[in-house]
Amino acid sequence: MVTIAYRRRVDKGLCMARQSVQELESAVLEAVQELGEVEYETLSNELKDTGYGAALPMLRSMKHNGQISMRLERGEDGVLRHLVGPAQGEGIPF
Amino acid sequence: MTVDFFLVIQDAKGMTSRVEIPFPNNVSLSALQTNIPSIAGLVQDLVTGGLVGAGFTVNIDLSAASGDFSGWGPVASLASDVQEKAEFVARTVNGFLKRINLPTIDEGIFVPQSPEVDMTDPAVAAFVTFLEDGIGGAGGVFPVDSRGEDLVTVVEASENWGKRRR
Repeated sequence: MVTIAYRRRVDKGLCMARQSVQELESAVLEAVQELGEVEYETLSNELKDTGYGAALPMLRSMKHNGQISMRLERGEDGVLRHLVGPAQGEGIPF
Repeated sequence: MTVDFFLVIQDAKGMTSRVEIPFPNNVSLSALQTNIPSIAGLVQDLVTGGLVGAGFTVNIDLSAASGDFSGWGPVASLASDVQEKAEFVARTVNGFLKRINLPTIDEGIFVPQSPEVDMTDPAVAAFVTFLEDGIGGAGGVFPVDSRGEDLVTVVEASENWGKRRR
């Protein structure tokens, strides 16, 4: 009985976590589709303003999964910009 | 063989410490030199100390802090201390680990009540992207480990209080 109860709690927790991750990922993908390639801070503020600030720690894993792009580029004005945007090229389906 | 790019960071007590970031031996030295302000800017955003020098093959005096180097320079915060470091650990394409310690780290980049670096902080996120993907575009530069292996993923970043280097 103890084992079953423990498993149920774990299953419930995992289920809730999975649902939450999907919701946060969708929020990120919607934001980058809407905003296009923008500076990290702009996207960060957008996610916080819309109540999805918890998605920020997921940005790097989403980059590694090929769902979004993140890059540093030095503009012609010499200013370095940290850009986040829609995926560029083939990514790994999540 | 790699080209070791380094930054010299000074704290409020005048103590200095070096941060080294390797690049492949085929890196364009002119590209590296062009990107010194950018790389230094990425680090400056994370530390409270002052950047007083940088170099690879030729030492470059940054004390003038003018021109391309304006906006950062050897002005150390009174709270800066070279013994207060954050260690960024990156994994290479073949699984080796490269550790980069930033002295005089700004304690504001840590998750409150935690030794972990807040990876969502814009300054941290930019530095992590630099380690993983370098600076793209024309004349881009891409850091590697001491074997010349590309850094692929930053796996950890946390407090690493340690001894000062002279």
